[in-house]
Amino acid sequence: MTQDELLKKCVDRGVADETTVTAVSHLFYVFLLSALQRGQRVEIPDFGTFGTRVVGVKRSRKMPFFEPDSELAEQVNERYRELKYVVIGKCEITPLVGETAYEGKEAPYDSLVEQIGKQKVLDTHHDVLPEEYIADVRRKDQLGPPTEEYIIDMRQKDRLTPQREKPSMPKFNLKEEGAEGEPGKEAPAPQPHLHEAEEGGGMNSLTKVLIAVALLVIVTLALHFFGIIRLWGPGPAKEVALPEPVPTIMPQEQKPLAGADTTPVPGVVTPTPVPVEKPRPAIVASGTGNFTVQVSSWLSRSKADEEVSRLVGAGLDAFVEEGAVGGAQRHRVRVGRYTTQKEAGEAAARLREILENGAWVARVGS
Amino acid sequence: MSHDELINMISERAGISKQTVRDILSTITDVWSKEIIARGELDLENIGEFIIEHRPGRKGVNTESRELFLIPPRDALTFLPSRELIEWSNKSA
Repeated sequence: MTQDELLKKCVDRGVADETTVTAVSHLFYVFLLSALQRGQRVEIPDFGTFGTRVVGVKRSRKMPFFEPDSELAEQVNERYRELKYVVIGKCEITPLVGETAYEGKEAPYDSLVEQIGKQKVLDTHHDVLPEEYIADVRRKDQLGPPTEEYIIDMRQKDRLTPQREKPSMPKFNLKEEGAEGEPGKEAPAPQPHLHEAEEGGGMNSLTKVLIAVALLVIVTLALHFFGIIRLWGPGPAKEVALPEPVPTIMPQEQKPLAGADTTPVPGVVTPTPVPVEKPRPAIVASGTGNFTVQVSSWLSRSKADEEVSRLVGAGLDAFVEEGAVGGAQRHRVRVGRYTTQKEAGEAAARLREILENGAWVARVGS
Repeated sequence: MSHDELINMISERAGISKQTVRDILSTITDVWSKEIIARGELDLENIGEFIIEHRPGRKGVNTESRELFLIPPRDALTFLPSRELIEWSNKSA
């Protein structure tokens, strides 16, 4: 219905002419706006009250509202005017939310009215005290003694949080189990591995771990002892790979030294080189010179002789010279004799390459 | 602003007697009320819209006495203000 039709209805009631009604209606609207703009309320009897309230996050916005009068509200709520607030019990004994048929905004009001009875709904007033209500309900045997409320409450709590049975764990204390068995109940048969542990004198897991560690240490030491692995100390001595006999430096008429021979053996003056695939520089020994090349020095004569025999076997003119260093006798293994120091130096360089060891020039008899 | 203040202002501005203004205003609000009850809604162009809403019944709990009670369903009158009314309300006076 439009505004004009409403005004026409007012005019039809014979209050005033149309111009006056329109003017008053317009002025009412103007003063309503000005009052709301100033934040005032406009009360209209038998209809309601207009006003504004502050809304919004910043509280800086006004929103007009309308509160209907009580008579108008009752007229609007004509269908449910007879229905009053009904006390239906204590909240402890009511089923929890989620277990009832309460779905959405629609409350099961009609079904409850059917259960309780419309007459009771209409007669019950919200001013009924809880004690009176409980006493009335008990009288009708609808509710048990007061303690039962808590029992029901506790049952509901238990149903919400059920206590699960803990899984039974096997007992490892076999000594006490065997000694303190229950008389009326036979002890269960122990497990095989647990039985072995009992025979071993109650060996616990820590003892087993210690034994395993000890065995591991023993095995490691044994491997180190037999040289399979190396835990500490210097590594195995490298075997000195002696060079193969070099035919180029092999003298034609050389007498190998055998045993203790302190006399110098003269070397071959003119060695005849044998053609080989890879020519190597020859070590030329003059045989009568005062210079020689010392290879090593030993305290024992036997070791010096072994070294000499090896060198002779390799085709070198080696011999043993004795000397004293600091009061101790030394057996020096020397190779060849050279007239000049230069020749001896060249021969020492060759020997260093061949033997892969130290070799230096020395004077014969020094 | 009370009802008497509103009547005085309108009568002064329009030059009409207060009783006439009172009768006209009561007639207007009575027509509005009858229209709302009859049709369930009323749309006033400049002011806003009145609608009757159904609010279903529900359960309520009195936290002090731990009472559980039923709140019956009811029909309530709601008001949706017009855009012009909102703008005027937020204008600085």
